[in-house]
Amino acid sequence: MSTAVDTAPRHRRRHSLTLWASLVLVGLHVAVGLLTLVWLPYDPIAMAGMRLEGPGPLHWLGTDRLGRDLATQLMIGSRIALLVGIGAVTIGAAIGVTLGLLAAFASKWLDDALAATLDILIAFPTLLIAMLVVAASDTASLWSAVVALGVALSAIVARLTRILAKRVLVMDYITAARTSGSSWPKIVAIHILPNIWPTLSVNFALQFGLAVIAEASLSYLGLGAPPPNASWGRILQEAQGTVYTAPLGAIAPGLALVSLAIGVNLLADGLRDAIDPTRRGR
Amino acid sequence: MTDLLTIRNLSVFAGDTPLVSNLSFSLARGERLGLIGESGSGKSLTSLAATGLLPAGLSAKGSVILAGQEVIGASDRQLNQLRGKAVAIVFQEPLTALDPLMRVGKQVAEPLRRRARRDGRKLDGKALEAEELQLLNEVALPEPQRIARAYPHELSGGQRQRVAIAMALACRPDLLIADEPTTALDVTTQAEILGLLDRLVRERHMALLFISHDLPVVATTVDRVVVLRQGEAVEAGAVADVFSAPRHDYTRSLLAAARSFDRALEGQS
Repeated sequence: MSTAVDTAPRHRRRHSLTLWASLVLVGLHVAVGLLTLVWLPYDPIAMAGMRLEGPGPLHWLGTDRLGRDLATQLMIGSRIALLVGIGAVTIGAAIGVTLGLLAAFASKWLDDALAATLDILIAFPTLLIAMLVVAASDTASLWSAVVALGVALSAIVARLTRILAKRVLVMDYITAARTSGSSWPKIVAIHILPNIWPTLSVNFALQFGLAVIAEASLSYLGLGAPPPNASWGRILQEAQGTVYTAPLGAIAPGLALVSLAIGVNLLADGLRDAIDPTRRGR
Repeated sequence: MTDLLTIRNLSVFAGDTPLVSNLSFSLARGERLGLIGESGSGKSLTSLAATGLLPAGLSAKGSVILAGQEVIGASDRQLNQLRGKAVAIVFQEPLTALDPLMRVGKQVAEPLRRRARRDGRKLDGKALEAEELQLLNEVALPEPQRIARAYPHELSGGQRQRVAIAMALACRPDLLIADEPTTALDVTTQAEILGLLDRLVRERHMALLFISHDLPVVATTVDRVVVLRQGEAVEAGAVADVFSAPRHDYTRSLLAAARSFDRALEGQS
């Protein structure tokens, strides 16, 4: 049974299983997030029932210590988490890829200066940078957190882009394109970006997960989005005091957070295999 | 006959260390020149300097005149006009010479499209594909349609090198630089690729600058050779003269090494 012949298709099936699982996990959060725009079970800031009710037909996940519906808050949390992830990764990618390409093409002096700056930025914990930025802005808002995380992530993206681009730049096909008269912008667009994209996109997905978790931490510390746009971190923090009497209040947002983070990471893996033709069908 | 490529007193430096010193030679349409020497003797650097593509950190002095234009000190913009039209390079390693993530057809189409723009021709998708297939056909690739849709990793080494040659030819260069084009290939494929290069250079009346350390290959491909050693030309002349009556010790040692290698092979078989 265990011949090379029949392992190949089984291997492929495992990959598509990864992709499917990730699509289900991420798709669930996306669907819920979109749903909150048009419908919610309860008003998220009104008392919808008794305090600390257990799960039941009226309140699927019970209520929190103020009597607010927990499921409603979690659903809003999905939307917030997706916005944070997309926002932070977009900002991080825009700044990071630009800086990284610049460094890859720069003269040695500028490259060294950029590399040193990025190293210092990377050495700071992401959360610390985000806290500094949020603390520096007047009021804590969702967007100050997103911008802060985006800036923090951009250093890693820049570093990765620089090294990936440098590796592609020394390839003969770049020199061949130059010999045949291609301009640099054209070479970046058709050769460099497509060749660094598979690795970058996996990194973006990992950072999406990181950003979501980091925002939850900021919210947990009271530096994230203020109510009523409660993020999972804030729900977690508010449920902390009653974790022994109503554990679901802490477990549910934790599970939501983990499921989204795992979902995007698996998605990254599956997508890379789908994007990169040299890995297809392996 | 006017020369296509004239190199006078070319020196290439890494900082203050000379890697190529005072090299001079010229090449006209239809001529074939071999640049030989062991690895590190500055053969490839010479070809990169001739196209203005020296890696960062290296500088060139002297004069390189390519199709009437001075290359050394010229801007990238000026050189881009020249590259492709005047010169194209085929590299040693066919795996890295092709973009791994782009279908072969698309890679060949890029220089074709550029040439069409240069000539002021409009090229629609159909015409482009036709030229693409014709080109793949010209380098004797079987089933051009299938190859055009393939990714480089789905092709053999010899097929990849043919695609690389097709890409170089797509620009219709006057000068083809072949930088050890057969070194990474097995002997049978080597002979096929050499035959192909020979035919194409003859048919299109191109000049050929052939870079190699493989003496038998050089002897069958070119008319004249320049022997490089540590960046200096130690000997130059017609292939027959240089190989039958080498004047420099270094050339003699290269020839002796090649002969003893041949003898060793014969002795074994």
